[in-house]
Amino acid sequence: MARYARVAGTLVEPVGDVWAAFSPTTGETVLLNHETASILEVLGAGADSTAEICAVLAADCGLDANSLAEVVETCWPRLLEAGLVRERLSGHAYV
Amino acid sequence: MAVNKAQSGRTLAEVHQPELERALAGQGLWIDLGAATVRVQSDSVDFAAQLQSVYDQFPFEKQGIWADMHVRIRRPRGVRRWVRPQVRFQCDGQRPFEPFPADSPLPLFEWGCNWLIGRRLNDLLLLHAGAVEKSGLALLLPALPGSGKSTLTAALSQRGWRLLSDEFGAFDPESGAFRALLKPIALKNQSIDVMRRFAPEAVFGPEFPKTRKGTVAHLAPPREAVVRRYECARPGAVILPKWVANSPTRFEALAENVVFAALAFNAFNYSLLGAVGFQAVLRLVRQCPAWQLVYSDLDEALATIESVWSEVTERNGAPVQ
Repeated sequence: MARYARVAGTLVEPVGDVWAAFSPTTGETVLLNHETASILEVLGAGADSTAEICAVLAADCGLDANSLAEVVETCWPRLLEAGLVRERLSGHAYV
Repeated sequence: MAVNKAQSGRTLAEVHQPELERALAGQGLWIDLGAATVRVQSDSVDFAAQLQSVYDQFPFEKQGIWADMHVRIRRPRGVRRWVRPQVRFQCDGQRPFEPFPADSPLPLFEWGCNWLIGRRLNDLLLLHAGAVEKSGLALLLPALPGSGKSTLTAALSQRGWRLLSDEFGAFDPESGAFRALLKPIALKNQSIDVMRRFAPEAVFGPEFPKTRKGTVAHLAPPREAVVRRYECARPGAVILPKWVANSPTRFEALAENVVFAALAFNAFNYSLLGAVGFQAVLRLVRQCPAWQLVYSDLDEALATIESVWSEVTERNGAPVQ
């Protein structure tokens, strides 16, 4: 199971109806929708897999965790490309 | 920036052209734009006359202790001195651009200096925007080329607003204020005649036809803007202008995300500044109310801006003038 970590130094702030996120890795800023910003927030709080994140989000918003899995899975490639998250290697500690 | 010494007390308008030519051919001329200083040397007689026409209110300084940019506008040696003569832009021994026709050194100088400013002044967040000031507050006019930014900035500068810059919203993240990068306003094509009609008393340089952007003419900054170029301005408001032929004036509030994108993704050095740039743009977005202004009539556009400015000044606790 893939595990992810929010890149240290990532900045996420609300701007109007979306979120602006700055990646210290790429030096670039991207605009995120609420779902993607929520994933970053939950990642920062300790959850690190699709299943754990879905569980936290489901508890927060009263939805079925299984129904969120597809949404969360589609967000990972974009978050990785934007330099906002990185994949955790199993068995390795990370900062 | 250090304040240059050896000011003669005269403006360029008060200097005879041969004296200016000698200065340019010798140690050069120090032009203090506010947040940056350019030292320029040149052997072009045309350049001296053209420079004098649009930097007329700037101090005539033949010696300085600091310049952010050291520029040379030179006529090439050899056959190019006589056959289809040209001028070259040099900075720190480099020639980053193709030469211009010998009779067009001013557009080359202006273009080259803007290019250098956009790459070098990285202590400031350089937004691609016109910037004017009133009541101590800056009005930013970010826009894409062809949107009427320069025309509107020029018009405001002729109607009681202090010009900070036509090209750079120069925001100092440390102090939280805008600084002046005062240069002539480059007007293009029909904007030139529009401004000549709008402000017949304004000072224009020569027209340069057939540039890459069509016909270009430069509008000299008013004297007050030059005298006050060290005065900063707090963030006031953002207006995205859009000139549309025959359009009625429309003025609509903008969402924060639109303003964020307009400022950040249209800046010269946003990415380079990293988190500092991100926080600076965020601060501006939170601090400044923002609108889009669609216009075709300059007088109506200005009246619309004036009518909203009292709201902006009250919001910021600045005096209404």
